[in-house]
Amino acid sequence: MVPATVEPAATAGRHRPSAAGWGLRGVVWAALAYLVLVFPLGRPATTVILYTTAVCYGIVALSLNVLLGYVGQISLGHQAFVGVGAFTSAYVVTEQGQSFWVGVLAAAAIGGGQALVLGGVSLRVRGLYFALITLSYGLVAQDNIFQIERLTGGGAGQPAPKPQGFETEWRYYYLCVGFLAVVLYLDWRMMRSKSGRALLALRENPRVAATFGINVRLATLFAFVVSGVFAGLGGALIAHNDTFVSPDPWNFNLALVFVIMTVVGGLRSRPGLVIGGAFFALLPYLIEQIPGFDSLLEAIPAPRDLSPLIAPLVIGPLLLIVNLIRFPGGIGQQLRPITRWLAGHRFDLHDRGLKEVQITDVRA
Amino acid sequence: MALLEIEELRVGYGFPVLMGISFEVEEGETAVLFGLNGAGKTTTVSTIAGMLKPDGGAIRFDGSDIAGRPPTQLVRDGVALVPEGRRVFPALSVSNNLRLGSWTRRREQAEVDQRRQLVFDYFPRLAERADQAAGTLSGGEQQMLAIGRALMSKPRLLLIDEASLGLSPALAKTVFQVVKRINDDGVTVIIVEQNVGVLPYADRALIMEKGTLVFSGVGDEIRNANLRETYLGGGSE
Repeated sequence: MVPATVEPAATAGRHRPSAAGWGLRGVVWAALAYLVLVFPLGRPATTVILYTTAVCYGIVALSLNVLLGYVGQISLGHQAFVGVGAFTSAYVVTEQGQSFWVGVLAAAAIGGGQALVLGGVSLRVRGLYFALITLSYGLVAQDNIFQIERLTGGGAGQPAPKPQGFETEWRYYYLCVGFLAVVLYLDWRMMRSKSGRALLALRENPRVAATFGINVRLATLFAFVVSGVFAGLGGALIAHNDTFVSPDPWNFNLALVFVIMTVVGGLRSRPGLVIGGAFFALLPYLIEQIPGFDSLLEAIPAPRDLSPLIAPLVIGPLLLIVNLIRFPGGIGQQLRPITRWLAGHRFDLHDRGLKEVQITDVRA
Repeated sequence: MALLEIEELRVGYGFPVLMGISFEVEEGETAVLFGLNGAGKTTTVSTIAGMLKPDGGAIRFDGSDIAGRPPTQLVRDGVALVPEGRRVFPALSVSNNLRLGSWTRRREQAEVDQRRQLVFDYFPRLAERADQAAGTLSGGEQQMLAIGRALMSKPRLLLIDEASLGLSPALAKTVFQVVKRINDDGVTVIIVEQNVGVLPYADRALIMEKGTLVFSGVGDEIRNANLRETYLGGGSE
């Protein structure tokens, strides 16, 4: 049978902003560009290091989102993937005498490689069991891999110098912003591809996805590897930002912070994820700026000294609860009317997307 | 030779569900699988589609044994399943839902475009809603999308689980009519149903009860037999 051609009513009624509308959007875009590109120039070097960490956390959030947001699988050992990336790049640059670029490439490759191996073994299971396997891997990395003296320097750690041409904090910040832009583009491109649609189908219903011939295990493994590559890259950039990498920070607490910042940022929302990552990276610094906060911490009776560094683990779970109860789409869902307006759509305060994020997204 | 031959098929979930059923479906037929809840209808079509592994027996599709083959392979072989409850992907657009249906043919763009036009011809409503998120469609439109999505893989055998579930009688009739058109275009169809309103569109009726096949008939046999009173509890319409 020869079918009659029926064209979809694709673009009917699409909003076209006026010249003034575009102008207003241009002003907001310019303000954002100023905030990201110009504002750091006037800040002290120690603060710019924090901004760079915020950018790197944005990359880590995008990495975890590939697993958590697109496939619905939770990784509780993501700090291991990021940490391996950090140590890999530091080792390649410091011990092997290679350039920063080789180090970053190696970190991304090793990040993807470890995801491939771990995923190949563990992706027979999904949900809670998969989370437990990643949790175990994180602990193994923390207590064993990161203690291998030849690779990581053991407890002493490993130097990770900034790359040639990007030695200043400001230049390195711009380099990391460039990497973040690349990751954002790759993520966007992936989700517009057939593979991206397959990943979304998997998240919504792996059994139904399988009925179309989608290889559930292979597609999940693909997502895991992409997540590992982004995580390795994020780790390498963090290492060179700090110019030193030691085993201490890469513990389970950090894995929890990564998960919380990804969910609070907003699964499947790129702006939300970047903001969520940056917020959690800057949280200890922001807390410190509150007048009298130090004396308040000292007044709290605790078995050990409290520091603003634990703020993400105190404030994070509270935000997570608010998230789950009131705003399941996190920051991204709240920003959606603005981000869509900036992209040229009509401003609609009630446009939060169609159940784009649900608290049942992660399957146990 | 029948397109689909089921021989002594046994399937269970730790306990037996299908207890050795046998039937055949000829190429170009529309077969309807009736039965009350728990009869084993969904288990039967899920096993044919590769979602469940049989404990015993044979499933032959076009002469070759497909029992236990993965769904990935079966879709390529020409078996497509419309799962119970539609199961469209609500956050994805109608177009993207359809594209996912053509996953095994994703590199054959011209073929995919042609199939998409065919689906839009069967269901013009989907064409009007091509860019709309599937979750915003009505129940009837979602059922159309689920059938259209399965058609995207260019199946020879289309399995539809509960085609009229939750639809008004008028909408169910519309869906049955389109399924008949699909069948007239050469696709062999097996519909799992509890609604005897599908009978006028069926070439073959199979009735299941507690994991066994209690009636199998074709043509006048199914029109003359009082299936509703005898096997289906008398009232379901």
